[in-house]
Amino acid sequence: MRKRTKKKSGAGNAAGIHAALVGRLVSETRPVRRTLTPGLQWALWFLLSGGSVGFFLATLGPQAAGAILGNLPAVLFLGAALLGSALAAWEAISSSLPGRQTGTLYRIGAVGLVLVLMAMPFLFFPSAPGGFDLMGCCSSGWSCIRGCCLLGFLPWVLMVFILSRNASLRPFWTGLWAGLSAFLLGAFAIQLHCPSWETGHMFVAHLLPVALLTFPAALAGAYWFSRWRK
Amino acid sequence: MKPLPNNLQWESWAKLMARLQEGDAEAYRRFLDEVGPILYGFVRRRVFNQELVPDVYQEVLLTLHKARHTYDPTRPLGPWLFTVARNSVLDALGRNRKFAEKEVPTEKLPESGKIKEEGGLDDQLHLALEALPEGNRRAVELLKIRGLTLEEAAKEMGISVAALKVRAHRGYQHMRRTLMGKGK
Repeated sequence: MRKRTKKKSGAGNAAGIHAALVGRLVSETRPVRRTLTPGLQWALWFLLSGGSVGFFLATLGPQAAGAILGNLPAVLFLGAALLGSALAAWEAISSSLPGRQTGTLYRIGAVGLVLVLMAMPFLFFPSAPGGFDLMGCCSSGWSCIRGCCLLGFLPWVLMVFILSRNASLRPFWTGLWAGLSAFLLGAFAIQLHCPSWETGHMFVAHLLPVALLTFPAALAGAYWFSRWRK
Repeated sequence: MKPLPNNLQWESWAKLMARLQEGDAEAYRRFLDEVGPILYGFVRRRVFNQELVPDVYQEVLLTLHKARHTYDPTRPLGPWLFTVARNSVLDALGRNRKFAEKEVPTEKLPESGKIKEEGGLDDQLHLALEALPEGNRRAVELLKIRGLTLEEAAKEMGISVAALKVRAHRGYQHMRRTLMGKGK
């Protein structure tokens, strides 16, 4: 059964309600620790996440730099993944700070970049001789799928930790952008490690986990980032 | 009509906001007293059902209070203030709509005399209530019949709110079992 507080109605009560509420709020006044600026939060997240991902990548062993630098589509793909992660992280942080939201153009740009990234394996990279085989890609790319999840998990936890102090007015979207940024960073890292530049593998083992994990991250965010209002 | 605040006022409120973040109660009171009418007008313009305005206004002030640590005093106050206010209004209206959808209008409920004729629901409820242990019965009576808030009922019974919730919950369960048993 739902508890309902007693309500006063009518504009005539406005002054009384205001006075009572102000009295209550003022009595609860205590110094508050201000949130860090969005720039600092973003830099902190990128530094910590980059460090953690770099550490695990060093353990796993990245592929030779020459194999990437000599391949323009590969450089573009990695650049788009990193940029997408950075833009999504900024959006997650901005959306959790009132008055700091980005504009529609920014969001369209970020979503557009992620869509281009998703399409890149089909546009610029060779497909396997037997054509696209979803189950085959899943079974052969299992270690990459797992790696993508694991490499993205720590950045996601860090992002959630950083955003927990903020006051998101749209928790679902904050959670969605937070998940996208973290798992895109994971995809970027796994692509640096995995020597396969084949369409099906890249899409199924590196990009699909990002899309699939972003949704539960958004749901978790919808719950977690609305706690400050309770 | 109240004139719109000028730049100087906004700057002064931003300074008050910075002081209230440091725990200055007087600055907080002044800030709320000065900004309150603007927010009230903001809410009134956005809420069609004027009876809801005071409730939504309360919601706005509470959200403002909880989000006060996110304001950066080096930035203009207006965007922060109105973003919080706009979202609180939308949230409050959304919640109210959801609640209204679940509510049964009283005019659709059958009259109590009619119920008695049809199946004696009142009597059954009364009996189920009477059958409750003293503590549970009193908790249910205070909350559901006298309509007290949790805090008021707990105070009257001389127990904590948590203990009251437990007693009331057990009472509801007991009544449900009694009523369902009679229905079978």
